[in-house]
Amino acid sequence: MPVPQPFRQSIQRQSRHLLTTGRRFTSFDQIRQRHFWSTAMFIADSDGYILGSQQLFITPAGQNGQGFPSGVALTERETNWKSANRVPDNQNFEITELGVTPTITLNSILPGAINDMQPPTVAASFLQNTVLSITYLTNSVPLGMATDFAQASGPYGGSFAPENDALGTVVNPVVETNGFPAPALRRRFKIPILLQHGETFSFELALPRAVFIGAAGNAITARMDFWATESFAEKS
Amino acid sequence: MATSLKAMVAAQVGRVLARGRRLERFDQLRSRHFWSSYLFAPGAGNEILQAPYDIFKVIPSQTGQGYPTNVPLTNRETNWLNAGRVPDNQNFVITEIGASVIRPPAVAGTGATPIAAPTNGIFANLSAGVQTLVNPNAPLHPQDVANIMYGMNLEMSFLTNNVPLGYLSDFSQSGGILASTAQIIINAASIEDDTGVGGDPTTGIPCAAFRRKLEIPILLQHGETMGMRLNVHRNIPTLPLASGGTGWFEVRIDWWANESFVEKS
Repeated sequence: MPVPQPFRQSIQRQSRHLLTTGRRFTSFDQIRQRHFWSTAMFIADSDGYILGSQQLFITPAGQNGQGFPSGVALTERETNWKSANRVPDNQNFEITELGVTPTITLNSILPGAINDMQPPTVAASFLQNTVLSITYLTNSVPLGMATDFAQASGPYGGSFAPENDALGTVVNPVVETNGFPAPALRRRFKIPILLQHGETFSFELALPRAVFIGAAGNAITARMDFWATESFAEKS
Repeated sequence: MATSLKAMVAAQVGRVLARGRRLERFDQLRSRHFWSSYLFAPGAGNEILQAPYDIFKVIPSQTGQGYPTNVPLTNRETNWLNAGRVPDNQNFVITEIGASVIRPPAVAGTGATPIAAPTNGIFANLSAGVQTLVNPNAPLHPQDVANIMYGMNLEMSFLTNNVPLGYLSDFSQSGGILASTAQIIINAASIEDDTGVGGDPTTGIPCAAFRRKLEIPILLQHGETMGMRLNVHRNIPTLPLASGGTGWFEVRIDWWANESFVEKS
């Protein structure tokens, strides 16, 4: 059965618009708010030190990078960013909060990892020695230290028993957060960070100086997130 | 080159050569932290001596502000780009001030026997005498942090005067590790004794929303001479290693500021 005339004209109009102007989206007519996040791993060298930088929001789910061991593809646990090093073409963002969270290193990602949070001294050491920057096309702007940008919420307080590891040594379960864990207490940017569709950008966590975090092979897994208002065009 | 572009280039060249002005207006805005740190490693006697200590005076890749002479500062210690003045292409409205008492990057081992200390790092370039009085791998002792926070005044420096703003303890940090742990040890006196596993103390409750917002912001214009000063009016005692001291401390002062700027390429 042939396509009815009104639909045929509509299709022709859309095709012509796309082919002549290169634009399939007429306007970003939907809006929502949510977190966007990306995670990096810093693995200690043979002497137990970490050093250097990792770019964030450059590796989408399904690919490997951002310090994760070779062969480990990121999942949406590690990042929900859809594009590498740029804003997807059908989204625009107004970023109003930033946060850095030292999270758990899983031994399913890094064999031998403790499946627990780092001791507070190690996590504090990482946050106080790491610079968070935003990188555009040719310049990188330091926004603050990782310790300046608290996480929105997280495990806080509670009581639990000490436990023994395989050697019978008492291991202290730890809960810790970067900052007091309450979303309302994070800083709201009065001047938001604006990112338009297609723009080249990434974030960076950089340690300009080597930091001792314990044994060789120990790792810090750091998640950087932002809370943003997102306008988008969703096609199907 | 097209006539209009040629004319535009000629106009810009004329402006720079004849009037010395390349920057037209500060047409971009953003908010971010700016910070500068001072290293205190008191050495023998374990006292931070009475004196003024200036910050925002040394830029990344240069030396000073208490750091060893052959350890240039990095973005970790400061992101301030002009020594003792506001860069010509920035203006600032400072809405928050914070103070943190932290420590340099940890090094494995002890001060007397470090393990694989990075040769270009802060610890490795301290004098040998100071190194033996530092525990490079331990969290700061709360008593030392308290003495520093209550013993230093924070001042704003302008061309010829310094204005005391408050104690370090009056200005909190905006984030930082808040921890709890299960380890409860009963010491010989049958008293619970958490053996310092909570990590380094924070300056205040670490959350940005709890920091004071300056209702009258501090305004700094492009080119203005400025800095900050940590003023110690009485020697500050710190603990020796045998009493759990660490022998080294950094004081980091940060602002949260709205910045107008001109970025050229």
